[in-house]
Amino acid sequence: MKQISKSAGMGTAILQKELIVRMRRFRSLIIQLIFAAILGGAMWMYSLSATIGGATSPEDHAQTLVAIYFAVQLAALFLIIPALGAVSITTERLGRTWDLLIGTDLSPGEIVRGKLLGILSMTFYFMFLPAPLLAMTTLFGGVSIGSILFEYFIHMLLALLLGSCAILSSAASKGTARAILQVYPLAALGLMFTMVYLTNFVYSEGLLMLDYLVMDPPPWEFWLVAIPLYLFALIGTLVGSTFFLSGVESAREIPVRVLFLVTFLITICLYLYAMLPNVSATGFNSMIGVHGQGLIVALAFLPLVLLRLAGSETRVPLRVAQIYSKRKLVTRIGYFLLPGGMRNLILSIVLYSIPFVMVLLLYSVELETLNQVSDNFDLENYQSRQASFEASLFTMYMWGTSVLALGWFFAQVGFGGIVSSVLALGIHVTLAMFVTTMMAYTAGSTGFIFLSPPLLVIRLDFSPASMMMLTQANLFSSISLLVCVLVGIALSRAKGIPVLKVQRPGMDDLYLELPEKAS
Amino acid sequence: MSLVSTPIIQVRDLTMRFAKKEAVSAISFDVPRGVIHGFIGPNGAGKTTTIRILASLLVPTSGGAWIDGANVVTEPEEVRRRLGYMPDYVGVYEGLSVQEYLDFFALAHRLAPARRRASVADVIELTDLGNLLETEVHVLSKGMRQRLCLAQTLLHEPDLLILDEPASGLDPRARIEFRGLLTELRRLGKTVFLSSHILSELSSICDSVSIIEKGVLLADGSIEEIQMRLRGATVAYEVTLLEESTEVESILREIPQVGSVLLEGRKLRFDWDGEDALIHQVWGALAARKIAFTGVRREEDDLESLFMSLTSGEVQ
Repeated sequence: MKQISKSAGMGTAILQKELIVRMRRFRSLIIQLIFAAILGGAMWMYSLSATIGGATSPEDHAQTLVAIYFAVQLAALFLIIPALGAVSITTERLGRTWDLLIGTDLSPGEIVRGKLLGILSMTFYFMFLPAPLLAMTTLFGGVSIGSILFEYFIHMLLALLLGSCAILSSAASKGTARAILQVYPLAALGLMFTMVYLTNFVYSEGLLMLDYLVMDPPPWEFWLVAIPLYLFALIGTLVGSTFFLSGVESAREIPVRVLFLVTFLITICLYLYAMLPNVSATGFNSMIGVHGQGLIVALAFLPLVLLRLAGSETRVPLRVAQIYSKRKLVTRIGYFLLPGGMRNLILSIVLYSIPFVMVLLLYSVELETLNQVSDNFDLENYQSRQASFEASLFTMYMWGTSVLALGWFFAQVGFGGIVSSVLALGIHVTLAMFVTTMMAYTAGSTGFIFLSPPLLVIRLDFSPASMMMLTQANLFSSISLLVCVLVGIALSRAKGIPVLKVQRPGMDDLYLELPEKAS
Repeated sequence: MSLVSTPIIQVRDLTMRFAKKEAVSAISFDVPRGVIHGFIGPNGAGKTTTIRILASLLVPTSGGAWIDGANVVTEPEEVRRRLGYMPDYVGVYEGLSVQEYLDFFALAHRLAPARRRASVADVIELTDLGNLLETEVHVLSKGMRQRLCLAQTLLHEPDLLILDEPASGLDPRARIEFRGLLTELRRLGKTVFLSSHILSELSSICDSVSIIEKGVLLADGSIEEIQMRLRGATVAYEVTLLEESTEVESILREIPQVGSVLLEGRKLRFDWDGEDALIHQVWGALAARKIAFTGVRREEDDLESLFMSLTSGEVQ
């Protein structure tokens, strides 16, 4: 029996190979020299200025030296990691080793993990080389070993995220140049933001992050948002990389959908947590006031994201159909997360509905607080705004679902995910432009404004005429939704693609069972 | 049907359509176990596309293919475990030595440490790479790279090797050595499926061939079988007479299995439409009339002439 090793599972094979290949390259020596030269140069400059500037205490020197070191290291991370990551997959493709690699037992996920570990190992090697010298600065006082370790920890987390972003860029690109061009603007933005913040508030004061956090601790809600956001970015980029490296007939869509769902739920929970205690009919946070309107604007942009799901491939990938036929219980529980057919539309509408439900929930909480309102509260005004808010909300909801249905419809016609999304959005942008043009040429006539509900909601003046237009817009969105769904279903049936079943009937002429060889 | 008698490659109505082009059009063929099977066609015929589908690297548009009973679409992991694939261009990792390169792929195939060491040692011995273990792979000659890649495909002990144009770009010596390696693999019970457009390479080692052009399979089977299908049972003989003779033509026409007869000086050429065992009738008839001959040559179609008669030379 063939002996099987589990050690390759965590990407060990790739890690070993990456370490050997990277460390033997002349380029790696050059990077090390440049890194050491920049660090040494920065320290030397400081020592010169410190000598010229007169005596300061050894504690101050130690603090400033360590702060300079970490500032330079941070900048180096933003420069080096994108370069290492962006070439990680593209060099395999261009060097024609990719076919050999996926011909082994390694899965795309293991390859991504191995590549990431390879980048991190190289980066950590650079980072920890000066660690003994840094530790010695604690002898002068002013810098604690805990602060240094915490700084390293934060830099490692940053390296992890940057590395996974760079690998995502590499996995999604055919060429190295494109991968680098995609990831460096992001890195530059990150570097700019981080450096501006850290040099202004932390390092310029001779502080390290731990000292800063101890001196001026952020509210614990900050961590409640920052940690899930970081995890989302990290997991999202890793899932995305695996998605791009997996075949179209694999189950690669499922983790993406789970990520979408989890992200939505976490965001909603965090938002509810933050908003609920502040909801008050008289206060600044009134749901029918600033926050409600802000949410309506946000919801107008949400279809941009969800069209990715609604307009995705209408056929069930082979691997998903196989998993479904073998593990019925698990897959039935997560039925709406399975790609293909009507589920694409249902999941996108369900996700789109979650924020609306959330708004309604906050809104109902707010209504309850009316009982505690003082005597001078303008109830009539509140109720009038409440009616217009409800109407606007419903109109936006109907519009959003009709956009998603249009994207889904184009996918049933046979367009790819991106084309379907662009077509659906393009039609609605065209309608908005048409309405604007008509209004300009007909002295503000709003006869066609129902064709573009977001424009209508923006211009809503709550007159009986405009409320009537809301009804027209809702009717237009409903008919559009219904037509897209019905024609989409008819098209699917005509093509023999199941609408609700998780099946690939006949697997589109692919043979699953071996037929007899024709004579 | 026992597993041993099941063909190791089974292809049924395999079709691959790219945007506007049908690269492979409903081809069907089988490859039995333990043979060297040549996959022949001009450039752009659809060879590499078919091979990539068989290696589970491409999903076909329709039809299907099975490797040792595993479906290339629904069981790609199983397919990859059962075959070793060598692409037309062998990419190598700059900076790795031959030993490290093989160790890496053995680990990637999840071979346990003991098995890994044994397997790497076995393939090094088989491919005669022992004196190059410390050499970095990117400085190897093309021939040695091909050997290394072949070694890599053998690490997980697959029964089937799929090699895409393994001899292209090799010098004559490397080609001969590579041919010997393939023959050795057949002796070890491996099935080798290789594509090439260098027919002289294939004719000497292949047990069977498939000929493809413009995505359409024109013929498959052993060279003799294809010849039989193309020309029927007719075989041409060329006889060199000792002296010129005018009566020889009439003598041969008396034998019903003899077809057309052509006499040019001492060269006699005739078609034989009967069983091979009955050809002695011709020699008997000539001997009875005291017509002596100094040489006989049976004209058989070689792979090149079969290929030329089957293909039109057009590419997609």
